[in-house]
Amino acid sequence: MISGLPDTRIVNISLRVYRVLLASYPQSFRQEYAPHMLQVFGDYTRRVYQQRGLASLIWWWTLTFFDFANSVLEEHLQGITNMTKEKFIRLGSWALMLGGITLFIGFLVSGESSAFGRSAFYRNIEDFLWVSMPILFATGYAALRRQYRDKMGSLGNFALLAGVITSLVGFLGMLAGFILNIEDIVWPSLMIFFMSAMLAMALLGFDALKRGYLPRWGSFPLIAGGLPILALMLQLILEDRPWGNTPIDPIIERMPLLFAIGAFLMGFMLLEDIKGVEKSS
Amino acid sequence: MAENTPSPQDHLPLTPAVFNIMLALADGEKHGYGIMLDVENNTSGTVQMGPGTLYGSIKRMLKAALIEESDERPDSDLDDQRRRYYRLTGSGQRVLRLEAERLASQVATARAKNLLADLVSGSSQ
Repeated sequence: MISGLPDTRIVNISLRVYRVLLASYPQSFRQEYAPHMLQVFGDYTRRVYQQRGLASLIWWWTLTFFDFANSVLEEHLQGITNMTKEKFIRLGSWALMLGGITLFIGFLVSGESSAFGRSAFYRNIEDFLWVSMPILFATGYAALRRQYRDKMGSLGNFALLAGVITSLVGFLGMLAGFILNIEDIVWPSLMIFFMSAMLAMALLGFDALKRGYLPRWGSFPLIAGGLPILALMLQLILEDRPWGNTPIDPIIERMPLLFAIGAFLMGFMLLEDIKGVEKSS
Repeated sequence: MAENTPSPQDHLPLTPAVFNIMLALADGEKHGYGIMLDVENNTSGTVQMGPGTLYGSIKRMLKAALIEESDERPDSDLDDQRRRYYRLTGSGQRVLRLEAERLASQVATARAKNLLADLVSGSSQ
């Protein structure tokens, strides 16, 4: 019997490493299958090493590693797709609130007049905040769409779907830009995300006002998404003005903060709404 | 209570991993390691299934009721009692048969288009 063969040091090390890797699987899967996977891996590793030698063991480990990476991703993705509607909406509401907070902080730490200075440490924090934001908004918008899909019109449906897609595009662009260190990709990607996320919120607000499906703050998405867009457009138009700065400039510049507050409130409203649904059911 | 249970056709086509596992279980119940060895033997060593793919597939097959855990254990002297044994369910057997027929029909099409001419002449030598 294979299990009865003596262990060698290298097999024991393999088992220890594989046990560590198993910790990456989702908890429910791990509890159910990890001991069996470890046993099967151990049996096969002993067999390969004792019958075919080190080269085969290395090949087996290569195969195992790809098998591990693939299956761990699959199990986590399945966990997400199997998530109940309520769980997903709850997750999305937190994501949207966190997205609002992240945007708020990101806005404060960026720019020449940053309150946090320009050290490499804060620069890294800022980069992280910008990259994580689109994912948070994409999750939040997807949850909003899931919760109000049946009540919203085609405009709201399309706006949120487009918001999710462009947020993901913005995320990939920013990620690629940071990894490849190409600033020319980062800023356009950020702007794609930013503009589309605000536009999506404004259109959702318009649709929600028309149909009245948001339980509270019905007019706020339109204000929080629409005003910053108008402000940004105004800024672009007035960029080369001959008369210099005006007293309303600081207000225009801080308009994205309104969008951040709007996102936070939408997330909070969604969370309250889903809590109510769960209570009543 | 009438539930919407999927028909055997709904499971097709099977993924290569699921098909290989079901094929390994076609001649009787086996534990995970036994399935791995059988898959390797059945494919002349071309398919080496890792534990992640094996147990991920087993999880989904159990959920789809294509296989079930077997309560019967061989003699404790012969095997580790911690092992779990799996076997095909009636539905699993039907799905496996349908998938094998589907693949056979594809092979027949390939043969009709002379794609297997080299293989046939090679195997007859």
